[in-house]
Amino acid sequence: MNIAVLIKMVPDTESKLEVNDGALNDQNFKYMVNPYDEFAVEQAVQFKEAEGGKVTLLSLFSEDNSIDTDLRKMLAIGADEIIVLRQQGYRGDKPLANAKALSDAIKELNIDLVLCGIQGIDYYQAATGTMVAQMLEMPNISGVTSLEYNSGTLKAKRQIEGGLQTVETSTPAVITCQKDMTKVRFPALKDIMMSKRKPFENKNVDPIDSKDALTSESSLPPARDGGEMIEGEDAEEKINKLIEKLKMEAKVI
Amino acid sequence: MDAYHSYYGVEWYFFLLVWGIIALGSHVYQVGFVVKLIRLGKNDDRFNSWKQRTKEFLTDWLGQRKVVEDKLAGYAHALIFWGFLMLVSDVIDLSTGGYFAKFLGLIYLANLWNLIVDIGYLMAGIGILFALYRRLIVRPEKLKDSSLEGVLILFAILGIVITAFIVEAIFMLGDEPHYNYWEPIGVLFAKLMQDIEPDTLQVIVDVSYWLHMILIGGFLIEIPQTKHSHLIGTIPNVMFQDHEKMGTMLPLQVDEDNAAVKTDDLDFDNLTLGVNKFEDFTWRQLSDGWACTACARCQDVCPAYNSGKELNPMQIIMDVKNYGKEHGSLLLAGESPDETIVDRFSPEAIWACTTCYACVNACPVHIEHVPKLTDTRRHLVMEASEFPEELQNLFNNLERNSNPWGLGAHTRADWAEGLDLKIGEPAEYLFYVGCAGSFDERNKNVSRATAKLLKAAGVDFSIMGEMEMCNGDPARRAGNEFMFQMMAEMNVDNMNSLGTLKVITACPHCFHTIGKEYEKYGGKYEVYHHSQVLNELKQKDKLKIKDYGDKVTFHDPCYLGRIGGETEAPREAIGGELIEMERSREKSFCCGGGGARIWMEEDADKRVNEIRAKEAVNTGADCVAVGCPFCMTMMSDGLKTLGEEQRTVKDISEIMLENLEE
Amino acid sequence: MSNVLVIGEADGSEIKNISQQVAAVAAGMGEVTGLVMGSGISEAGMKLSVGKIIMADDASLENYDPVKYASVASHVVKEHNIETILMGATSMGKDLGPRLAAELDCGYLGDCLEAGSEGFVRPNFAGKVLAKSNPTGTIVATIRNNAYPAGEAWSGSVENYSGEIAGSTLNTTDVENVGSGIVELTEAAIVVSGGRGLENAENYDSMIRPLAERMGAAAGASRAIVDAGWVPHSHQVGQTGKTVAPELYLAIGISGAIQHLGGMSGSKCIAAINKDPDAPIFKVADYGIVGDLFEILPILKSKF
Repeated sequence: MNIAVLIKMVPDTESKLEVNDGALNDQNFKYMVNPYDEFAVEQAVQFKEAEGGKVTLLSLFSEDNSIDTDLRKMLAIGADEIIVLRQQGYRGDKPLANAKALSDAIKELNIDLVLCGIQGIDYYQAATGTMVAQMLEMPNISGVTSLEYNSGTLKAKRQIEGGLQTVETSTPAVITCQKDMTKVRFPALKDIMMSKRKPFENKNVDPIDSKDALTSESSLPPARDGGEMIEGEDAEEKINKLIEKLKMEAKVI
Repeated sequence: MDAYHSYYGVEWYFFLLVWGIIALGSHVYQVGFVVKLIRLGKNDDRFNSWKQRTKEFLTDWLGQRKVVEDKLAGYAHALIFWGFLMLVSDVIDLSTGGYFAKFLGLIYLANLWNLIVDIGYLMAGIGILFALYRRLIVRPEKLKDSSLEGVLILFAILGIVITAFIVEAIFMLGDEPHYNYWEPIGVLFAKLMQDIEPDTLQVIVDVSYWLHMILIGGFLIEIPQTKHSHLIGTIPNVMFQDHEKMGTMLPLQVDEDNAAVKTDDLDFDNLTLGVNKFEDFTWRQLSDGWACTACARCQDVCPAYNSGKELNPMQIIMDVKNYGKEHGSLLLAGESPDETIVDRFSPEAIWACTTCYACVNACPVHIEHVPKLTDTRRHLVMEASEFPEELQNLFNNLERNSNPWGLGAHTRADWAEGLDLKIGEPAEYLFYVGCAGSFDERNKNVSRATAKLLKAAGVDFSIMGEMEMCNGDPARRAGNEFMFQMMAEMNVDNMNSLGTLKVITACPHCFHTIGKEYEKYGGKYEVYHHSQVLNELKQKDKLKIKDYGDKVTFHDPCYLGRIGGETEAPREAIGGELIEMERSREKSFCCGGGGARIWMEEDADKRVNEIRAKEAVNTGADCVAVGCPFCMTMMSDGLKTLGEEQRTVKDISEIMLENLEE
Repeated sequence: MSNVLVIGEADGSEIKNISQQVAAVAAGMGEVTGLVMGSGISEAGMKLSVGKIIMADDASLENYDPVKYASVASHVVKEHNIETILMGATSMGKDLGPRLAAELDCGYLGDCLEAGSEGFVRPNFAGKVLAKSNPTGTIVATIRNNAYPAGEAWSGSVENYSGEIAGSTLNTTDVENVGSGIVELTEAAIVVSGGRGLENAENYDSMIRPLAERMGAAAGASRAIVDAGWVPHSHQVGQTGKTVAPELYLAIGISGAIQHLGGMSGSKCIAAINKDPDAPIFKVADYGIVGDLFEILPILKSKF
């Protein structure tokens, strides 16, 4: 079974976030493999170990090659090769354009299954994987928490409100992976060393004009400096204040 | 009257010859087998520092220095051991029908020799009697699982002693008693037996003589198999004891200058990462197996064992020996048994170690338990990839954000806000804050207290700020040597670029790793624990600390006290009414946080820190003083679980700051 | 003003509350058409608060299928010259939205906190950055639950869908109800977590679980109480347990040791209730109440 795993390089969650003049400053971002995509790599390798075939990692990024070491670690999990699509002016928040670049690359390979994380921890759109499916005219199942493969049929479980939906489909298909779908192995040092010898291809792709909605302005949410202790005459008053703040200020309920 | 006559028409020496050949032959064969097994181990060049080693051999092996740390059992053993050395030549005399003594007589040494032998037997006898009393009547807790083997051996030696005296005594009897007062005990026995019928005496001397020789032969056969192997095993073990500073782990590969080979230059194709097979150990790690006497002193002090975990340090050493014995033939044929040494230790035991080195410290014969566990961890992490899940998080966090909790590296210096400290500038001292001191709320207070005190005393210091990275200790103790090496190389680069060579740290793990282990990576620094610096400032009146009367107890951190060698500076620094816990200073009982264990799961009924917390409570002190962020966390948690939150846990610097006179 | 399509979701015989919220937002953005897809959804679909409702009621649409649903929706979009397509950011919406956007070759904005004719605002970097967009051209957007209040219910005219439904190899073989109120910890938007301050297991069960259920939240725990056996390990949040990053993390009776923080510091908003004003949790909490949780929790529960 030939599997393509889509990997997104995302800024480290702990990176310092600065907004200057309405634009997010990404100069000092350090990039890492999107954690959701790691589950996809692990799942792909497990399928390969059971069914045979090849696992190709695909990543779309700019020409910056500081990401190469981390990508190679994905090879160490057990993938066979990696193709990095290098695009000038690449942006992580253009799912339509990025999906186009990725699906064009997938079309050139003979792929039975496309796996990727459900969303990137940068923009949380959860869009690229599904868009790739549409562009490849393949069915997709998103947010999968467990995946099985048996003679051409995929059986996936995904979380829906209040329950678990089991969906089956034949390959080729696109599956986007939810957190903890499987346990990602920690590659042994030898595998990390061996991965240095696996094929690592850089391929230039043209920038794509797309209909993606662009961000006109970025801002930091109002700073909640170190936290607020809620005062009140009694418990009831404090609770009312808390709920109001959670609703109106933090907008979390 | 003696036993040197013929029996059933065959001269006595024929029987002795046959028995001698069997016993000695078996002994030599077995010892040879063990030597071959040990030689399967990797190289470890300890054939140096001969003068120092000879001195150590004399004090530690001959002088029983560490053995007598346990007063009762220790001196009993010393008696047996020295007695044995004194009497051992008697077998030559007994085997040569008395010609040895005659020969010594020619050079006027016979009398002295006889006296020495007699006293030797007496000392051994007294020692044995005491040992039997302890083992059978007193029955200390640690020996409750002891096998019959120990008791049998003791009785056997006692038998050798008594039969020796009987033979000696009857030799003095005969037609006319001729007491040889150079054999005083023999005389005693002779006087007791002088009225026995000659025929009976003959029987008694014959039986005693042969019993004596049979027991000796039996010992020759038994020594390599039982814990008695320590008779021979302790010789190389004590002679070639570890000369590295306690607790220092070794790099994957070293070059001719004993420096670590750089990551880029490591030859991974030919490098074994850690220990999985028997022969992956060094010969010296293997010889430990035959030096162990099953005295259980290591077991007694082990925090893992005492908290009910799978690990028993004594068992680990026995495992080496037993595994060698069981799979010996396969191993010597160059084959690999299905069961590896890692399987034998069991991963559960391997991960339970806190690397506190109490076991190594307690061992009278210089057995090195901890490296066996950290070496097998290296295999489990770097080759097998089989390790507790929680460590995966730890490794990922260290790699990405250079701290075990994965918190934003750019927030590392936030604790120093408002303190107006030098950041990233050269200064006389570098205050290496460490991860806990930078990110853990509770420990940030310690960093602040330390900084404030240093400033108050006018010390010129700076911190690295965001440039500071974890020194790599958690990765190293957890077995991820590769990651540690990369972190060490990076850190050394950073620290060297600052030019400051004097380092102060509030964390004993940083103190240890940077102070002792970074040397091999090109980082030679003078590292001080903050208690040392703060105490010196206090003694020199640069910090005026007022006296206070609170009852306080100090929990010596393993990596500061036992492993670091510093126990007095913290005590002088904290003042107050100091009450010592039952186990203090180098005998301090681990808080349970070391060996990367603070990041691993622990069953609720097997908590090391609760044991230590209880010990602290027993002192009645209101405040538990600590000098380590792990101890801070573990002791606080432990007291909380015991419901003793009213007792505070404070760092040395916090106590000093509280009592600083303005 | 543009033509807006609101894709609503049926929930049994009711229409989901989130769909009503979206309908209310849409009302201010132009002429609104509603679309409800499924099987046997006529009763529910009629309740969608829009002027005109297109009902795609077909057995083949019984379970959500991105291929089929996207084909129906895109047909409706093209037929009615829709420029703005809105739906709730539900498990369906978050999948249908992108698929539809790709099919229509238009922009997509997911999980919006704000939506209107002036533009959209959505959260990036786990909510640490807000991004405003003012797209021209066709746009598909999903709106976060409770970002807006639901409007008053009213029903408009109903039209039956008459277009084609694409074929699909996807086949739902099972839908398992794990019970409402039992929300998975790592993906929950709200986590209510209890610690040693609760004093015993019964209190956890009688105070934390019902509160979590009321709030539609997952129930979590600190290591201390997992070790004490009050809750299973699956509930543990922290370094040696699960890492969660919900919108709201409510820490009750939890002191906030660094090992626990490591598991929830990524939460967008942290609120803590603890009787100890010096508890470390207050240093990382956005909102804190110092008080007796036994007094506070029942009152809190009554508010949901």
